[in-house]
Amino acid sequence: MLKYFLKKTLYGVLVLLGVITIVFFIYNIKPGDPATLSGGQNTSKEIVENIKKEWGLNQPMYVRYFQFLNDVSLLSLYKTNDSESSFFYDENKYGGVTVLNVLSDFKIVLKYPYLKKSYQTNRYVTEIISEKLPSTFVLAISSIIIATFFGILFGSLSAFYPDGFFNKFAVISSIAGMSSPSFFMASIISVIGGYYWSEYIDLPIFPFVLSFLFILIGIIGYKKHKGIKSIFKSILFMGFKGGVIGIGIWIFYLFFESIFDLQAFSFLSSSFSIPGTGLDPSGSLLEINDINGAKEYHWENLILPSITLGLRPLAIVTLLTKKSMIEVLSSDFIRTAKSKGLSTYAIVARHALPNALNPIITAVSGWFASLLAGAVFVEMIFNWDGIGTVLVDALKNDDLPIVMGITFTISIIFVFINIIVDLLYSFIDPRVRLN
Amino acid sequence: MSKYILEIKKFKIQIKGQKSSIVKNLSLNVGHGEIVGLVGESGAGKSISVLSVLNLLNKSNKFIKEGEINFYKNSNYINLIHAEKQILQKIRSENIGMIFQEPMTALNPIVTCGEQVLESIINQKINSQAKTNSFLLVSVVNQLIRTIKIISFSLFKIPYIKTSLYKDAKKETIFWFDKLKIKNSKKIFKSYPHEISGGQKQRVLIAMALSKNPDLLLADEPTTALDSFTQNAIIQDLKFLQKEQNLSILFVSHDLELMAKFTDRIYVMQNGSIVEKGDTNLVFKNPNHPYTRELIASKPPINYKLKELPTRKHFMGFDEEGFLGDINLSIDELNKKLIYPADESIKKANDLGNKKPVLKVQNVSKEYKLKGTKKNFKALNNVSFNLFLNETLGIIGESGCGKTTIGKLILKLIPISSGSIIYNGNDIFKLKRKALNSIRKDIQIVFQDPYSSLNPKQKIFAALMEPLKVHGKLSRWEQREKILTLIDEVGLRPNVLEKFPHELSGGQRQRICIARALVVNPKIIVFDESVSALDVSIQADVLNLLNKIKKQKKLTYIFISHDLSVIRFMCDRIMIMKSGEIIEIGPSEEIFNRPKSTYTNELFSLVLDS
Repeated sequence: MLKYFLKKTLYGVLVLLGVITIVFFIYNIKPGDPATLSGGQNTSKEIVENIKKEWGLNQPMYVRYFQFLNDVSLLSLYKTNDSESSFFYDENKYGGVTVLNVLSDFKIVLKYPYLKKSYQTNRYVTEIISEKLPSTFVLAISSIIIATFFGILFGSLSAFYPDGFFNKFAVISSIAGMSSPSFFMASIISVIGGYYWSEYIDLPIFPFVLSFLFILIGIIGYKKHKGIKSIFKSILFMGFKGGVIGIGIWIFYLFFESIFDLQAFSFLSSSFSIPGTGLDPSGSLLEINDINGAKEYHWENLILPSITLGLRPLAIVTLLTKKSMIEVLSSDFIRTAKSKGLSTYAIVARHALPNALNPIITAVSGWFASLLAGAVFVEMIFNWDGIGTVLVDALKNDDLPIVMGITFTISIIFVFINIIVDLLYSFIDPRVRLN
Repeated sequence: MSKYILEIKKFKIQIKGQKSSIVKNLSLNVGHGEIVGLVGESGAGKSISVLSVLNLLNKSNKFIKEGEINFYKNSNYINLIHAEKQILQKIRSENIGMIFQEPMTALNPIVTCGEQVLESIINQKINSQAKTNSFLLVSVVNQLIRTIKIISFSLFKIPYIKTSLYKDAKKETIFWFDKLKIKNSKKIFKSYPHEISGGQKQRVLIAMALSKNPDLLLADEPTTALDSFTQNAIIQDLKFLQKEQNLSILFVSHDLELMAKFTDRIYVMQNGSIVEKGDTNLVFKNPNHPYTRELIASKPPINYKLKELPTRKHFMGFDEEGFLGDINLSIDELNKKLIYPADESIKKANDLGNKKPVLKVQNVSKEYKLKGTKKNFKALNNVSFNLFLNETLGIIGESGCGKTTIGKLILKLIPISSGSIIYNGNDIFKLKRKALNSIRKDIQIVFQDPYSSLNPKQKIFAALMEPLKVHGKLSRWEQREKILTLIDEVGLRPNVLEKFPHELSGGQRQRICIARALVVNPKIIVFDESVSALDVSIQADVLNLLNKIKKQKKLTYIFISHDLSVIRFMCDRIMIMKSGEIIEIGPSEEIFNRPKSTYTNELFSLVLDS
């Protein structure tokens, strides 16, 4: 187990090295010069040279590469005497503990990864990341929890009743959810949840009354021998039917009201209002109070963006769960479990779901990692103060340290999640051995 | 007390939207403490009938059921077809146990064996405590609480693990494991299904079914997936337990031999209806229905060798008035006509053995690396034998004895560890690629499972063309001609060529596999359990066909099987293997009549006597 963990960590380090190398060379080879961009168009050559020198851009690329590696690694080798060198140990910059002095003017230092300063704002990248990452992390986690919980629920239900209305509904809405772009869903959800339904909303009474009447009819007409499940089913079905018919009649009424005088049916137009969500169309987790300048946590701002961000993974988890549950439910050991006389819930919780979980874990972990980096649209539309916006800004401005820093951080998280997922696999399925 | 514990009356089942029913008018009774057999070939509808007793069919709402399945409980009959879910669950958890066909897949792979049996016991105990409440909401809540209890017992184990209920159930599980002769029962309790052998899995399944002290046991082909030695051991234990517990058993199988040993009464089923029923011994001695007679006759006898297996044509003839029809020939008479005298067979085997061998296997060893350890597993240990022209060499042994490995090595499908296999004077493991290709065509193999050894997305014609394209230098027209004659030779019609494998029956598919082996004019064919997945009557047809083709084309066969009766019927010489070594090799009849080694004696006595 420990051996496996160490091995995986080593692989993770190699993956990080690969990612760092590729990202470093992509951003350094591409045309464009951050120093000129920063100085403006009419700056003299000397100033640009000075900026380059300050940022270390005057060095050849391979030196910069090794310097970056040295900065990023936990154990690194620095010079102590030559303050001009890019490998000079500046205690204010790096911090850390000296492990070993090598020769007279070298030493090995144990420290946190050093990610340089932003070109644009001149703040430490570590500081920016530690400020912005938590809110993105919270957003990603809450949306993945929504997606996993409801995805598994909907998927299992539609696998259980493959001929029913629910299955068709789940499949169609999943496909719609998968194919609608996130900025589109973000705008719609923001407008509906944060604007139209923010305070209160008027609903026509008639469909609800009709739906209630239909439910009553369903209960009266219910025959006892059909079992418990069928009464819930009939309540749901009758309620739905009544509601749909009610809405139909209401729309007809609205249509004909403009043409004819329909005084006698005016009860159809009566409405009642339901309380609103009270949410804002946009907002961040951590907001600064305008009046007294205090930092405040606004957890309610999490609701709309996390629903938006969770929709796509939700659709995928639903479809995946459905597929893998259908496969598991038709396998022989489910039949064995049935022959033991277990109840349906026990069969699902004990035998079906754990066996169907593997592809779901894979999908969820992959999505979680990509939500961390790819929530840009949602963050922008909801004005969520997260890492995605910072990353896009940095890319626009050729702010290399920020781009490299965020990429590095996210790949660390990615590697870590992968290790956890492997452990989860072996925990769920004893046939998967860790070696 | 009523006479029968299970009464099936005029039971019919059909798929929605289809006109013909799968089971037609099935009537069947099982008495108290009686073992009743239901025999039939695949597709006869026997599994469906047994599964619908407990309503265990997958997608059960796609079937229409009619008739009655009455189960005797608390001195009245309950019709299980229209039973409420709760009542059905109660009967499943207390009164009727079931054993399934595939022990490999019938156990949940991610739960330990012990827990799975324990779950059944605890479920029964918790459910028997529960009282049914007539008020709807209370009963729903009760059911939920019970479910949560059961799940938390098995899944989380937290609040109840120390209770006496859990401990008692664990003791009971281990008691049943010991009773079913599962060695190391405490270790098996903690092992997962993939860590134990097929026979042990089946024993765990039986323990699961018996642990609730059922009144009736339904056994759906419980031993079909096991090799015949394990099969016999399990059947004997089951019979012992049946007497001890006074169980009633409904036993479903296609294996007639097993039925004859195990059951008191049998029902013979063909195409969804019962064609014959009665006392087992009477039916086997004096079958009335032609189908039963065919079924019994087509199983190769274990005590002597036949020239040809009886099929329908042997029971046809001209009666006294000159009409073609069924002649009332008893099986014994027919067998007397067809018997192959032992000395003749031995003489033939010896004659063949005097010629030059076609294939020499010399000091062959094969080792597999065991995963995770540095140890090697010796599948074959210094095996040498010769294969002579035009003979059939049978290889017998328990599963894991290395017989399949020999087959694979002869075809060079896997690398060899040491030793040599010499064909035509060349060691096939030292040949260059080009020279090897010409030899590959001379040695062909037919696999066990006709369902998975054909590409499901390739039409039969393409499947047969493929080897010709690789090996032959024939023109397209000649290739076509050749395939057509071959299809005729293996007893199929040319229209199968345009079909996909899933459109054919198991027997037809195996014939296609044989044709595919024959298409390149091989000299040697290896049959690796090639007929063990087929029904008896189809198996008889295929075996007769193989003998016919062998005579026509002057082939040499290696026949690998665990079925002794098939081996005795097919082979001139046999080779008995145990854990990678040859125990005995010689003319078949000589070994069957006078086995020399003690292991062979043991092996035969298991099958012959019981």
